[in-house]
Amino acid sequence: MVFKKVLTKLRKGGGELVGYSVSVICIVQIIALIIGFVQFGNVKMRVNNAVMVAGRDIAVCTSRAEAEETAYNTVYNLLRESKLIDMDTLNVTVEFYNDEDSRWQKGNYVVVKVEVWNKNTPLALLNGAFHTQELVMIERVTEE
Amino acid sequence: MIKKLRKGNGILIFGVAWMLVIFFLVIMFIEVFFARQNAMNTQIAADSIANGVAVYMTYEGNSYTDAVRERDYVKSLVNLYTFHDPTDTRISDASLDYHSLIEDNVVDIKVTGDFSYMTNLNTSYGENGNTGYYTVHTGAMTEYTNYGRDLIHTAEAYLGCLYDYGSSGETNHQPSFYKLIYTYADHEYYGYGDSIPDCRADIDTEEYYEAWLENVGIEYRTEYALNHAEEGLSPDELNQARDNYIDNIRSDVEYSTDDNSRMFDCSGFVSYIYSTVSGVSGRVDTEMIGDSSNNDYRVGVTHVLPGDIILVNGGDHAVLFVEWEGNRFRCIGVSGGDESTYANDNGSVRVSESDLSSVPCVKYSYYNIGDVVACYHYSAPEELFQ
Repeated sequence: MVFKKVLTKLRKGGGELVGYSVSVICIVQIIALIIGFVQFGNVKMRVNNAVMVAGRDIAVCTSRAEAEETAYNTVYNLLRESKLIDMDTLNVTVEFYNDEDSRWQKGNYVVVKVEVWNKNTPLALLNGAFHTQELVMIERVTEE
Repeated sequence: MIKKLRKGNGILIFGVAWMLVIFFLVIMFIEVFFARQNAMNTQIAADSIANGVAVYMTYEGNSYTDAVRERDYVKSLVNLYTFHDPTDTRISDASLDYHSLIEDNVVDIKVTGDFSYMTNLNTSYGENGNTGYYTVHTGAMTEYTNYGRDLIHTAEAYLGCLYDYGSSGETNHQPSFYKLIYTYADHEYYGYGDSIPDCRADIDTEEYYEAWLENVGIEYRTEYALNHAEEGLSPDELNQARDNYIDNIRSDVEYSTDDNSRMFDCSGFVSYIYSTVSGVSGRVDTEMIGDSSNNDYRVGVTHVLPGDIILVNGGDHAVLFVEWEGNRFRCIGVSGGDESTYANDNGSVRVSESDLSSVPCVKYSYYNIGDVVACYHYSAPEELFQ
């Protein structure tokens, strides 16, 4: 009985209601897209900034192990307050740019790479792992 | 048209317009997203290049050309490993001028990224009317040590100069004339044996030198002629050989009065080298180098640069840092002497390279990190005497 009434109302011009409902869904999706990009952009900026700070920190480390530990701690402290990053997936590596010369000595270059999992964005497309990396020249002189 | 609108099509038009607004709004946010990412990528590239060049200039770079070469190298690495591709990088040549860098200690760099895929935003970020690019202007602190290398090169010119407690280059070591004769003549013939008099003996005077030329020298010439008469030399050749022989002795005596005969103690050597490079006269002793008022110039052992002053042996000995050799400091300084040391006790002339290890003189020395009490880095050599 109720269903018939609804059908009757729709036939009498309730299409506007349906159209509006569909439009609302589309608009919500678009807003979600915008919010998703804003959130992802902020996360990316945070990670990029963390990589830059970590790069400056490890430049004065005295060994690769110390550099990885320092980089991890720096990045962790800078990102831990973000609710959009899954900190359990945080992976920080420091690798020599040249495998043939992997000595920790002044003048050699290393690449610090931060990989995290972006989560909870309204846009599922942007959820997932992404990484940022920076090239850093070693400023300390020797591996003790 | 108006009638149709009145019949309800206006809603359609309004809806389309509204959707277009939302569409462009989305596009705008997406562009802003990419703009921020591109800007940050350019910033990271600038950071890598500026810091790489700054560090490079502290230990190897000697000129603006070197900085540009390193910049291009780092740029290629940035492109290879982080996939950022700056379209243009420029280093300010003014900031890498030797003197201005002493004042500024900055590698001034501009890195430009290409925003070609979002031309409608370019004008907001273009520099000097150039659209399509985003430019990051950044600087990195550097301890560019051109003067440090000058210090080392200057110090190396005095390798082998002898130790004299309290001297800072103002004292010339006068080599013993006996030693010279001993060196050039047959000492057994003249009976000098192994007994070489102290170089400060009164006999080591200019008057004695002239007397030797007049007496012993003539005697020696005669003896030389007799010993070489059988070699078949003509009288002229024989005279020439004798004169050359005597001239060699004379030149060594004259040699003793040049820079290579200067004498130093450890802090005197440091003072002399800094004074020579800066053109500012001054003298500091080891206690003054380690004085608490110099804490502004104190740096950690891992930040020491060529030409920096290092205090070792409990703070009683000052040397100049040259370079790292493994975990050891390679230094140059005057070592091996003490308060009782005056030059080399046997009165020799400037010691040879092979003698450097055993003679109290200017030489290379090696220290471990544990030996170091303090390191001092002056941004300009004249600051040592302030």
